Amino acid sequence: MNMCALSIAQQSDWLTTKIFGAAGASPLARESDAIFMWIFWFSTFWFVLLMGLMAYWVVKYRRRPGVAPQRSAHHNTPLELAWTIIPSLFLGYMFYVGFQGYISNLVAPTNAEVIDVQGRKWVWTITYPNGANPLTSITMGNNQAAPEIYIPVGRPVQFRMTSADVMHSFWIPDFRFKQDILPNRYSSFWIEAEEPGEHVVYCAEYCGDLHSEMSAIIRAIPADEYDAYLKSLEVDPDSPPKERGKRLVDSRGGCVACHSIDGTKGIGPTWKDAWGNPVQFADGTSMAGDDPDAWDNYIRESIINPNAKIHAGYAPAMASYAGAFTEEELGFIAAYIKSLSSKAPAGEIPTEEDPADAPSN
Amino acid sequence: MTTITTPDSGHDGHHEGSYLTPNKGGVFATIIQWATTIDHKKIGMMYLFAVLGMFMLGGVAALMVRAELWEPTRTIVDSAGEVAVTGQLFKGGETAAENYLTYNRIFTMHGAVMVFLVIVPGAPATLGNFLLPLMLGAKDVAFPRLNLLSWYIYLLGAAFAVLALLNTGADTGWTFYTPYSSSHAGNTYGNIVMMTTAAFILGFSSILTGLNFIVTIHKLRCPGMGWFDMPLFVWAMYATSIIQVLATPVIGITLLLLIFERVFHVGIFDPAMGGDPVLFQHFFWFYSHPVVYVMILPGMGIATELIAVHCRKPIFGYRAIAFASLGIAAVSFLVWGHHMFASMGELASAVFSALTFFVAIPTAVKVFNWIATLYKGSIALNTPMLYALSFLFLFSIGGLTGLPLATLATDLHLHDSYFVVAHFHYVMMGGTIIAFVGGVHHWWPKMTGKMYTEWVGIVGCLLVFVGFNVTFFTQFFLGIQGMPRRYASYVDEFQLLHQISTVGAFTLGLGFFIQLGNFIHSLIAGRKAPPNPWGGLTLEWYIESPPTEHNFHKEPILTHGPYDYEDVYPPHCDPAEFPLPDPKPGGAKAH
Repeated sequence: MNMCALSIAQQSDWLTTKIFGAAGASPLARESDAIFMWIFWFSTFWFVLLMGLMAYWVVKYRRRPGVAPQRSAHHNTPLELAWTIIPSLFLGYMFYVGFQGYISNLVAPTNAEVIDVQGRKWVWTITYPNGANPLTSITMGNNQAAPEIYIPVGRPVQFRMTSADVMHSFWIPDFRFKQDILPNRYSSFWIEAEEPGEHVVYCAEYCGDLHSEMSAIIRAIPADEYDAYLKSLEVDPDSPPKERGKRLVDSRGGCVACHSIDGTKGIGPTWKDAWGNPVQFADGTSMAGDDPDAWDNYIRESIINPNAKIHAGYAPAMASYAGAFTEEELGFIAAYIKSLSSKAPAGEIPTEEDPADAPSN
Repeated sequence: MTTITTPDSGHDGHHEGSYLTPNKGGVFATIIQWATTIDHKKIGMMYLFAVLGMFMLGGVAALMVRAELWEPTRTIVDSAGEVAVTGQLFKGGETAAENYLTYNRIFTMHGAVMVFLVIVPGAPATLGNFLLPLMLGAKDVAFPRLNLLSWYIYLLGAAFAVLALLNTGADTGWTFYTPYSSSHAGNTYGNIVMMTTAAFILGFSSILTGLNFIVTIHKLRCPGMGWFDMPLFVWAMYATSIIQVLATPVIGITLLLLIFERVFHVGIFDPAMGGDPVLFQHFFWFYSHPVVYVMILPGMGIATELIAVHCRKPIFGYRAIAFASLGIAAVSFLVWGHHMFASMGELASAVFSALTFFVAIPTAVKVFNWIATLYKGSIALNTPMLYALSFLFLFSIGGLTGLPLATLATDLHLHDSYFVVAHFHYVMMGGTIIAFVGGVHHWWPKMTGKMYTEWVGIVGCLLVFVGFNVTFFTQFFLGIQGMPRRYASYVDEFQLLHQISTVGAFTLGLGFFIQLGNFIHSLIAGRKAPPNPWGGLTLEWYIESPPTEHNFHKEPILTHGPYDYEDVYPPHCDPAEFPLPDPKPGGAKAH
């Protein structure tokens, strides 16, 4: 490919690293940098030429009292044709290499590992090829649920992306590529890490309040470690509902970006003691009582149709999670939230201090 | 051959004062006179003050954005570590989200005010209104009452925008992308509707002004003025007006649809209601890309005039520049998709990338022509010319940095990053605003009848030039290295570049502040301006400064081209000060 010559010529270039901060993380990324540098030198040539002429003539032909401007041609057809056609040829080449590089990033090899990415205000939900969701997240700024996305080194990885609410965009600066994430269709591109390392992901399409914090981190790890990691994520079907609920919340839900479990006020109300304790709604109504079904329904409704009952003092910021969880999984999450409340019946939801030792009624 | 019409007050009974003379009935009568005027010059001046006011509002918002970005507020730590929060400027709310909301509202305010209230109406409504009839040798625009209506529509739109801003503002960004704007934005209901209504109303002002200018240029050229005898500023206004008339209705309809979706839940753009958000982007950029040229073409026109007058040279390749204006206007309708490379399919992206390169060609041709005009000229380095040279410098950078954004492979890295922010500020501000401010300096003596202090103007211009480059050149590096736009916080490693940029922004603000002071000083204590301080040849320099109510005492007859500096002594000037080169051998006419 003709880009190869360019890459070789440019990739060790001191200036490239200076401009980009660090070399691209993959051959495709470095190819994109090489195209950039080629345009950079092309632009520099014209800029220096034009500004040099401008500065030279401004000095040489500066106005002197009593001195007239000199006559010169008012146009020059060959010159004008030349400066129209010659740059056009370069621009044509620029288009061609740009299109090639773009397509190479979009069309993934058929053996690529497909990782699903769902964007949602203001978290990413990652699903690995085996259906598992990552369990660990890190804190990046105010985002307490920036997922750690593990990818195998030396294996192509395709991100298949969609949004649950508004437009987002998945940008990995180290790989020099992004695609917008749309709520009504898939978009995708692929990367391949050459060596273990960390790569930041940003949301690059403005999506509201916490747009600035919507980030994630990609950790490239050796392929065998990656395979082992995926295996470790598989869910144990025998674990109790509240633990399975916690797992869903921590991994796929991204709920803790907005809802704390320790009573702290977030974008949404805290879950601590949310179940069973009287709550005031924005429309003036309230809810109290101790009918467990009513509380379970309230939690279910708040996930499926979050704007039906707005907690007083909070904006209707949450998008519906309808379809994000199965009925069974909703039950697990409700069980988890219930377990965070002191009102939870000890017999139904055993807590750590109070193991299931009250079978009497 | 050089006589057109000279100020002949005192000779044939024209003792009329300038258009600025206050009404004899007192202050109140003068206000009524201005409020009901159909004089294009008064309307232009009212626009000028409104646009300057809005520019200050948008500028303050910009400085607030830059101040907020002085500190990163975000540190990436691993899951075990603590987050080092260094504090944020907008400590309005209890949570980070509320602070960010304030930031989001402020950058939205900056963008919306600068685009819809400053740059789009800026040059056409102020300098265009004032100069177009003068340059054509006409008494007024073709439809003076319609012109007054445009002004009031602008005021109404501005009122809506300011109301929306006072009422906590919108947080969608000036692009109003769906479905965020139509269904999700965290604001109370009315503000986004009010903001879009403002943009909708302002559109009518644009359309009517454009229509007015097109008819004026077609019908009101003075005797002797053919299409290719028009000043190139008029050609630029012509191309601008065509775009305004053809593109603005699209944004009107789009914003109306957005309001329908937001208020009546008619599903158009939100997939939750059966719509498609990319459709909004197509509609939006189908207007908003051509409008980029509504913004830049007048800037190019102004720069052309400034360079010709202050070099005393015929513009090199007059016809090429005129046709390049029309060519840019035509191609501008075919490149909107390059704002959507990250959200469109491969085929559309390829087509729009190729078409985008076509816009680069006429733009480059113009730059070549301007620089060729300097050759063998007599170049005066005064304030307007320094602005014109700044324009060439900044606009060239703006244009060239468009190349990696038109190239698909590099765009998908740079898209929605600070590189884009820097690029469009080089074009919109380094191009349009700088040319506009240069133009205001150039025609200030004509508009107000007063001279400003030259050295203060030069100091202001240099501060603006340096401040601008410090602010935005750093942002190219920020973008390349991975800084996304519209972020209130960032990782620590970007702090140095952000701080340099902020220092530049305040320098820039200081430069504009000095210029404003210079203008105010000139109004109060400025020397009286002669009719033709720069030795210009276009028709506005034949009449008094400031012009009389009806511009020309009798209908002018054009006898020379707008840039015949090699053959014609400028009116009202000492020929010794503006000498002509030796006549062409054989006496052949140069044009």
